[in-house]
This record gives sequence, structure tokens and C-alpha cells, in this order.
Amino acid sequence: MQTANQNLITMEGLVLRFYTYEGVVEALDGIDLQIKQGEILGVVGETGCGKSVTSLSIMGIVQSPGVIEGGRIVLNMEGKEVDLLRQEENVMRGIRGRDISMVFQEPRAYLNPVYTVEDQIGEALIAHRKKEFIKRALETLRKKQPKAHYRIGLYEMWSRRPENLSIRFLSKIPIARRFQKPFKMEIRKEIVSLIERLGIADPERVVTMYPHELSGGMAQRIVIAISLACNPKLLICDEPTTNLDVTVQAQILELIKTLRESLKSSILYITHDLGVVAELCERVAVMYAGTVVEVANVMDLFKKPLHPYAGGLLASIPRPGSPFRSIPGIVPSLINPPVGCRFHDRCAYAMEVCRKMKPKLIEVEKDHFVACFLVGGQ
Amino acid sequence: MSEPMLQTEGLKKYFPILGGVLKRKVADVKAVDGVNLTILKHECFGLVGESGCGKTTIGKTIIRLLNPTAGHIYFDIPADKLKRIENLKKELTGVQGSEKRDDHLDFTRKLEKLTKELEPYDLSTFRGNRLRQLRKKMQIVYQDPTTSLDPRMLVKDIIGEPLLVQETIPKNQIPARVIEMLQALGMSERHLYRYPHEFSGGQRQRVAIARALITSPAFVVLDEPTSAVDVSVRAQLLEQFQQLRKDMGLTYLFVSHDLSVVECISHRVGVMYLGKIVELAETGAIFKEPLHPYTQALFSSIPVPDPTKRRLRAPLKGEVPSPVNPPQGCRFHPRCPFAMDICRKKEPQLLDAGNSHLVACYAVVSEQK
Repeated sequence: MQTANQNLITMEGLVLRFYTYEGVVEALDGIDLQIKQGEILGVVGETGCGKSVTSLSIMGIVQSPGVIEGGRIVLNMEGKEVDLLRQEENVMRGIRGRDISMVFQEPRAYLNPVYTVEDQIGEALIAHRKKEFIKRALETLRKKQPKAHYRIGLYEMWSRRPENLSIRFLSKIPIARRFQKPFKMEIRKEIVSLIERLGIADPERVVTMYPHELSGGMAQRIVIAISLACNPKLLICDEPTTNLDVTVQAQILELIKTLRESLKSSILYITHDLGVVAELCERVAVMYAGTVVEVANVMDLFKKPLHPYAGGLLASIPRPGSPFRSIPGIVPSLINPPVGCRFHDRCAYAMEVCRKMKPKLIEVEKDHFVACFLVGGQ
Repeated sequence: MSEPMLQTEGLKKYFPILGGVLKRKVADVKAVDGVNLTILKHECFGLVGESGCGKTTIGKTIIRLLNPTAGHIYFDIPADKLKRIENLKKELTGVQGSEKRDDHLDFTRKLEKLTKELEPYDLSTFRGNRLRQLRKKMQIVYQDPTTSLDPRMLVKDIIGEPLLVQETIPKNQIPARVIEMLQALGMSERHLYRYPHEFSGGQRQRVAIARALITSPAFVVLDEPTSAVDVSVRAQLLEQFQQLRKDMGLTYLFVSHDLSVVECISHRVGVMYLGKIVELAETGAIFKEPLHPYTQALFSSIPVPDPTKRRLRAPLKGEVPSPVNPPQGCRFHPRCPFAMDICRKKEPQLLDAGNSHLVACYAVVSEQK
């Protein structure tokens, strides 16, 4: 139980700005967030509150006008702490896809239309687990064709050094590259078993298909398969079901739940749908205009939201029979965000101090963090 | 409340698939395949279903943005005429199927008379100027205001354009009317000289609504009007829709896949599956006790925003089949847990299961009844 309570990811004071022509967009303003081992953490918030950028920062793939200007993102790799923001690009490349992987919103845009499903899942496997598959191929070769001495020798050489230059040459020569066949067979076997686990019927046929032949739900399953190919420690899901139908969404949510139980990885689930959060997550972080305003267990948050914004968000879910309730005003522009608490101009309980000082995220009750002057007696 | 505003009869919309060297028609996408629908005056009729089931196509076909492949759309028939038509229909069913020659002649004559009576109200025959006149009375609000508003036009021009086209009021009165409309939606004169990109999503959608309502239409199609706006703004918009319906006496066709929104705003709900309506009832009744297996599955797959009521199960396997080759018989049978032999052979009709709760399913209402 000791490891279960350890944090997999610890974010401290993450600041991210976009330098645009209109001005500096303060997209993230000091994010503190912890992802525990093996939990599903939901991040909710409206458009532009910074939930997607947070996940991009973890992956280290923030695009050009965006600059991470401060803070730490610490990944806990079996006791060894790695600050993801201070790693070389080639180290990050090893972490991405192997330790942390991501499922994006639009599966059709994510998949390459000119490669088959097999190629695309295989790419992740070859990038991170090449040696393992060469060894597996070597074993099957020894078992099935013990007399193919030349081939076995080649594989032995290959398994010692996967980037061997002469093997790389060999794989460019048309007839000679057939030596890769046992290796490719191993990869295909793995892919088939992988997507079979994701509940796809007839996986042997599906692996040879192109993305346009897949339906939306299937395409999303393939994307999930790619990100699960290396058993990541953290799986980031950025609104994976937003463009899917509700019946398919239910299937995908069920899949994520069962996968979590079998893989024991942590999941960071980003969504704007409070229904999905209630259904899936264990802990929830509510974000507003680049800040985390409340972090709590899902039961506590839905029963007793402490931050006025979290309360307003929950109240604005339409319920039959009761009048519509909404939060007055609109989400502020992040180019000139409100000084002090960023929610103060929409908040019904705003006080003098809210206009001047930024509230800190403090633990009000056990495992219930709120950033508001109203609660916690700051 | 009980007078019908709009009725469709066997409405069909097929989109041809062209192929081969000569671009000949190879097959049809049967987006809407025989829909009979009655929308009452001053009500909000909700139409729900998964993507690709044809709900948007119905909305567009009803207001003649798309030409129906077959079927009739009757709009706004005056009460006295309606009575005469109803009587004629009753008489017709009386003599229908009779073998006598006289009766047969009588039937043909009456049918002709009926068609003549109905013709001036049948939107599917409207053309040219008549169709343009109709646009005054029927309007549509689209899903995404960023794409439905011209980015190069000022708000005052966007909202005023329908009046300019329709020429209902003199040109010099248009600005005053535009301001009035903006104020009705909780915006002000300040917003007149701005471009759409300067607004937030919710305000942009309000501009689109103002444009739709400025000709004082009687019937408005709302095609997923809240799916592009944020949760906290959605409630504001929904409230405005309700207020406007009461103030201006509007009738809505509310197309959405968001069931919780439909439950809150509609009086009656129709559930669509693959181009057909499978269930139609009052909102309270259908959400309390859905009868069709598809409706039940659809409702139970919405995530409930309450962590104490978690249910770990996906009710349906597989996905919606292609509307090019819909399954024979009941279209839902390949995914239906209660499918019987008859479901595979014959298509069920939309029948009354009591309290005007219409269902198209053999397991719920049998044909003989």
C-alpha cells in the first residue's frame, strides 16, 4: 500500500505563457497538481481554461508561441525523480510513448491516413520495445527452424545491438530484407493481442485496414491501443469521447475502466462533461482561467463543492423541473486576466481581498484542496 | 396548444452516391426514410438520436433548405380548413378497400378533392417567390456560430440582412428593429459595429438567434444550438430560448444529441434511429418510461453527473449501421437484445402504446391492436 499513495506526477507552480501578436496570454498561472499512482484524475473546466495545455506540458510538446516559464513537473520513475521540464529532447523522446502517452480528441486526425493500423501501432512498438521483439523472434526461430544458422546468427547480432549498421544496410536491400519477417510476425502477434484486448472483433482483419475504413469508435480504440502499446505509467486522455456518440462513448468509458484495472497505470482524464467525470474518475481537479480552483475526491466535489466556480459549474447542469441556473458573465480573456482571484468578477461572494490577492490552493479538509478566500481562512 | 403547426407525411430524403466514369447513381444514402411527424403550435419538439441518424436532415428538409425526395410537408393550415381536411380523410378511410365500383369512383374523386385542398399548404411543392415568402415564417439556428456568421460582416448587417432580403419593413426602419432584437437577447447598441470574432461563443450564438428571429417567424429549427457553447453559458441560452418562445409565440424543432438539454426544454420528444422515428411521446413520459429498446439503451448510456449512481456497463454493442444499406425489417434488430423473428422480416410501424406514446417495436405494441 506504500506505493499506492506515492505521487506519480507532481506539478508545482507551472507557469505557461503564449507570446502572441495581441499580447501575452497567461495560459497557466501557477498550477499545482498531483497525480497519484494508479488513480483516475479528472480535469474539468470550460474552453480555454488551460486543461489541454497542462497535459501538453507533461508530454513536453507545447507548441511554438507557448513557453513554459516556471515550475516543475516531476515524474516518479520507481523512486527516481525526473523533472520533465529539464530533460534533453532525446531523453523526453524515450519517455514519451513509453512512460507517458496520450489519447487525443479527434482520432481521425491523429491517425495517419496512408498507413494501416498495423503500421501505426507497430511504430510505437518498434520505437520503444525493439530489442524485446528481436529476442522473441530469435527464440521462435531457434524453436521452429533450428537449422537456419545464418538467420539465427543474424538475429543474435541484431539482438545485441538493435542499431547495428550492417543490419540497417541489410534492411534496405529488397530481397535481403526478408530476414525481418520473423521479427515482423512477432510484432503483428503483439498488435493482434493488443487490439483484441480492446474489444475489437476480428482483429486479424482490422490490423490490415486503413483509418478511413474504421468507424469513429474503432478509430478511437486504435488510438488507445497505440498509447497502451508500451504499458505507460501515465495515460493522458484529452477529451477522447467528445466527438463520439453517447452509446459509443459508454463503450469507450467502460473500456478505459477495465483497462485501468488490468494495467494499473494512472489516468489523467481531461473533459468538460461533468457526467463523464462522475462516472469515471476518483479525484477531480476543477480549472478556471489558467488556475486550479478545487481538487477533491469525486464524491466530495459533487456533494459539497467549496469553490463558488465549482458550485456554479455543477448547478448549471440542466435538470428537469428546476429553473436553469448559470454563472453570470463570461470567461475572461487571458491576455489581461483579472488581478487577484481570476474568478472575482463573476463571483457572487467576491470580497475586497479577492480583487487584490491571488488565493492559494490549500487543503481545507482531508484531500480537499480549494483556492478561495471564503473557505479555509486564508 | 393542440393545433398542428406542421405535419410531414412519408417524408424522405435520399442523397445519391455517384460513381463510375459517367457519374451515375450507384446507391442512395437514406438519410430520412419515411417520417410522419406532427409539430403542434407553440410547442418545443425535441428530436434526438446519434450522429448520422438524420435528425439535422429532417430539420433542413422541413424548412426546404433541402428538397425532399418524396413525401409532403404541410405547414400552418388554418383551423377551418383543417377540419374539412380531417373529415375528408375520415370519409376516405371509410370507403378505402371497398370492392364496389361506385365506392372506388367515390374514393378517387374524394382523394382528388383532398389533394386540392392540401396543395396550397404543401411546402414540398413551393418554388421561387413563394418559397422566399415562406422563409419569413421559418428560420434556422445552426450549431456553430463561428461558421454560420459571415466573418466580414458587421453585426448590424448580419442581423439586418433578412429584413433587407424580405423587404417587410422600409429600409430606414431596419436599424431600430435590429437594436430592438439585440436588446431582446440581452445585448445592446454597443455591439452593433463589431465583427463576429470579437464576441464570445455565447454572444455569437445570440447574434445568430437574433438574425433568425428578426423576421418574426412562426417556426424555428434549432439545430444543436448549445453544443458549441460552454456549460456555464448553455443554461443562459436555454433560458433565453424558453423566454423567446413564450414572448413571440414561437414553435421550435429542437434537434440535439444532448438528452439532458432536450429533457429540460422540450414538450414532446421524438427519438430517431437510422432515418426513422422509433419513439415519440411527451417528454415526461418518455424519460420516465422509455419503451423502445433503442431509447432505453440511449438513455442509459448518458453519463449521470452523480458519482453515487455509477453504472459500469455499455448497454449497446457495435455501432450504427450505414444508412446506405439499412438492415431489413426493424433497423435496430442487429443491435437489439430483444430481437425476434418478425423483427428481421417486417418493418414495425409507429403505433400508439397508450396515452399517445408512439413506439415502433413489435415487442411493445403488436400490429393487430
